[in-house]
Amino acid sequence: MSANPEAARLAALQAGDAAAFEALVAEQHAGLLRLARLFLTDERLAEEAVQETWLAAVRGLERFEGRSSLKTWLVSILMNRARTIGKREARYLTIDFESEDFDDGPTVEPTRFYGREEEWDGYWREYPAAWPNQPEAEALSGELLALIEASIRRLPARQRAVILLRDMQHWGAEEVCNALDVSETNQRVLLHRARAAVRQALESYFEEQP
Amino acid sequence: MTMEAIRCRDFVERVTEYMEEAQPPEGRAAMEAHLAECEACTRYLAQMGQTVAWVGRLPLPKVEVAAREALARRLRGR
Repeated sequence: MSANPEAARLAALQAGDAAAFEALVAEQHAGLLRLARLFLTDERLAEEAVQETWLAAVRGLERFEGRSSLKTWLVSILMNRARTIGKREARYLTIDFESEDFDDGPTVEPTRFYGREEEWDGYWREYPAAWPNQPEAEALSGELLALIEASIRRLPARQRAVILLRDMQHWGAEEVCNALDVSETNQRVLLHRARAAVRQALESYFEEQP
Repeated sequence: MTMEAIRCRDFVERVTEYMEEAQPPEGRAAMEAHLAECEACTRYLAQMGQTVAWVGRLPLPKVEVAAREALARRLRGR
């Protein structure tokens, strides 16, 4: 009946189609868990947040009108669950959703550029060091993956959510704006800050390598 | 025609706008003009691209199929 696969899928889910539900769980569960783990350091709580997300989704499906996609809807639910669980078990929450604001300082240390009073004001003092070649096909070392993950974990919450959805889950900018309820510009600022911080962590890591 | 000249300090803050193609044409042209003459910023841009590519290769958590199916069954039972 519907030419829109998302609408057809939603109709199947709302009609209680078991296979459709299993497929949705199979497709989204690991991604939701990865997101939950970035907000709640306790594995048990992260799993609880995802389970509750699925329960809330089952309850809410009937009333879900498909104005956003299913996956952005699921992530919005998860963010709310993580927030609620975090209120109860604050020591496991890696962020304070309420107080966090946008940091607007430079993403590259200002001393890396010549200063205002110098002839080359605003240009690099030294080039950023070249990175060692990492063949595309080769798996990244466990050490490098752990470093990237740790640097993402240190980011403020919204930056962390944005880089996770954009660069790990490969969502589009608009989907992220919808799921996190941020403007297009803010989404981009958050993404920029997040990526710049991870790049800096990589640079520092490569500098320490022999 | 005069074009706004970009310095490295500003370039690095606009890299994501550039990668997202979220700039007006004049802004993009100014970025490209800077890139054409600045090897350091060209490298910075490439490293941001590399960063994105690597973040994209972080593995998803492993979820046991049995656990996932049990969850789906439990949810359906409600």
